[in-house]
Parts: sequence; C-alpha cells; structure tokens
Amino acid sequence: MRRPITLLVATAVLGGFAVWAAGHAASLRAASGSSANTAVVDKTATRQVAGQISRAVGTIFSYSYADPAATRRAAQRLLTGTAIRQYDSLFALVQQKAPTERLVLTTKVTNVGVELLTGDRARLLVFVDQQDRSGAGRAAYSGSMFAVTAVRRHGRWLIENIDTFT
Amino acid sequence: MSMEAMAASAADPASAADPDGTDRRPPEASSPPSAGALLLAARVLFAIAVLAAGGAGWSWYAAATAGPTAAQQSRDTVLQAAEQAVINVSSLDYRHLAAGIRLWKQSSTGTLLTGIEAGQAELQRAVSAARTVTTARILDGALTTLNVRAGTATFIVAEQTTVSSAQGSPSVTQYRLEGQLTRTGSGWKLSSLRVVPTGPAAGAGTTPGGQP
Repeated sequence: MRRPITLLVATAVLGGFAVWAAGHAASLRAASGSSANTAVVDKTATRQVAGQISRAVGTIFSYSYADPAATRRAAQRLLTGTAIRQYDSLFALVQQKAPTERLVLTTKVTNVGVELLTGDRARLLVFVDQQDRSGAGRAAYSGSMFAVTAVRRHGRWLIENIDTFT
Repeated sequence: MSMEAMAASAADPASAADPDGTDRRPPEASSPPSAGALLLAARVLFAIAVLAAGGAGWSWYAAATAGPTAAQQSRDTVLQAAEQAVINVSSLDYRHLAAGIRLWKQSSTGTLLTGIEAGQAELQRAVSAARTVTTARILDGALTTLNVRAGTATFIVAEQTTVSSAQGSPSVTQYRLEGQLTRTGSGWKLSSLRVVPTGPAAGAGTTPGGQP
C-alpha cells in the first residue's frame, strides 16, 4: 500500500520539523529575553530592582560608631564581586575616624533611575543625600551620585559594581 | 492443555490451532476494517503534524525576526532626547551667544522656556562680560517615568560641565540633575530641569522606580 506509507513519511517529516522549529524558537526567545533591555518598560521589575538597590545603598552607607558591626554585616549580605573592594576603600576613612569622632552617618537615596535591566543584571543611576553627625556637633549634609551595577542571585538584587564617575 | 499439545504447538506453531480461538485471529478477517482505521488514523496524525509544523514554523519565524518592542524604542528615544536637551541648555559660548540661546529655546517648552526667555538678556550680558565657554557632557542618565500616551517623562542625569574663560584653568563641575520632558508638535522637549538639592530640603525626591 503506497498511500498510507507516503502519508506516514510526510507525517514524520512534518512532525520532526515541528519539534526542531519549536526548539529553535524557544532558544531564540531565551537568548533575546536575557539581552533585551526592559528598564522602565517592565514597571514591576524596574520598581523591584530600584527599591531593593535603594534600600541596600541606604543600609551599607549608613553607619553608627555605636554599632559598626551592623553595617559590616549588611555589606557582606548586599555586596558581591568588585563592589566589596570598592566599598571597603570608599568606607575606610569613615570607619577609621568613626570611634573617636562618634560619627553617625545616615544615607538616603533621593533619586534612582534604572537605565538597563536585562534579566538578572541591571545598571542604575543613584543620587544620595548624606547626613553626617559627629559627637555633639551639628549635622552636615552632602550629596553624591554614582552608578550601580546590580545582579540578581536567588531572587535578591546585590550590588556588584559602584561607579563614582571619577 | 496437555503436555503433548504444548510440545506440539512449540515445535510447530503453524499447525497448532488454538483451542480457545482468542489469542489468534485469522489474518483475512481483520484486514478490511483495520486498513480503514489505520488510514484514518494516519490522516488524522498527518493533519496534526501539518498544524504543528505550521505553528512551530511561525513561532520560529516570529522569534527570529523579533526586534525591540515599540515601548523599548520609545524609552531609548526619549532618554536620548532628554540627554541631548540637557547638553543643549547647559552649553554656551560667549562668541556665539545668539545661536546658543536659540538652541536653549528650541530644546525647551513650558515654564522652562518662559524662564529662559525672561532671563535671556541678563544671561547674555553676564556671559559676554565673563567671556566664558561652557561645554557639557552626560556621564550617565535614566528615565524615572515614561508615559508615552500622555507625552510626559521624568529623568535624572549625571552631568559634567567645563567652564573655560580667558583667565585661569577651566573649572570642571559635576551636577545631579532631575528634569521633565513633554512631547510637543516638534518632538520631546525639556519642560523642567533643576539641580537636585542637598540637605533637609532634599527629602522630596522622586520615589524609587516611581510612577508619575
């Protein structure tokens, strides 16, 4: 019988093509999904990374001479890669003079913008306002800005790089 | 079944007729309905394969030719417009004052444009007297909100300006700027721009990842 055999061969060929094409479509989508920038466009994901990184920046750049361990613990939890070394050098002076000057540093993020968001990587521009109070002295304010590269590990955004534009 | 019968069927399966007649059917009895059913099944399978191949093929084509979405393109266009507009209104050369201020006005709209027009004469006098050339560079920037339908956007940029004058070396300053863009008949323009304040007044910044 020729007809059923032809039919079965055609079915097998088409079925094979369907599986192959579906596989390729899936891998193409996976590749473009991780490279497409969804910053601002994906409101939920943008808000999530902006919120988590703002809190992280506020936490690791706030410091009290009375409890330096709290900041160190937070930094270990929220930083990764090159940011660990960058943070240590940015914060070395603060930690050095904090005990004698009874320093309390409070950092608040005033503005944050997500410029790049591709899957588990993001780049954000961050403006912070810092209040610096030592001993019984009056508070001094200063503002600074930097760009943060963030990576998501196990559902949490961590700071991987700090670019201070210097 | 006797031992003899089992031995006989094992030795010569063709001659061993099954006494029950259940596990073997005569080949000629099954052929006509089975061929029809097989053909139908083959046709159904073929139809399914055609649909699957068509669907998967289309999906593959769509995935292979997909580019950035319209929303992603708008975001990039608007951010680019914001950064260029900030550069425009931050730059001024005392030797080309009229052209410079024309560019300031072309880049702005609304209250920012009104403000530029109001301060224009004084600015020209001051810059002519100081003989300064100010150039600007964007270090980094991001949109903080974008509403394409309403034609509004907010953004922040890190900017570095260089002011050169006849005397002394150029002074380089970094600024933290926040602004708004509004879509006009001739493209997106700056409707507000300010240096982000520091200190107790700085609490009223934009909310992280904020909505308008």
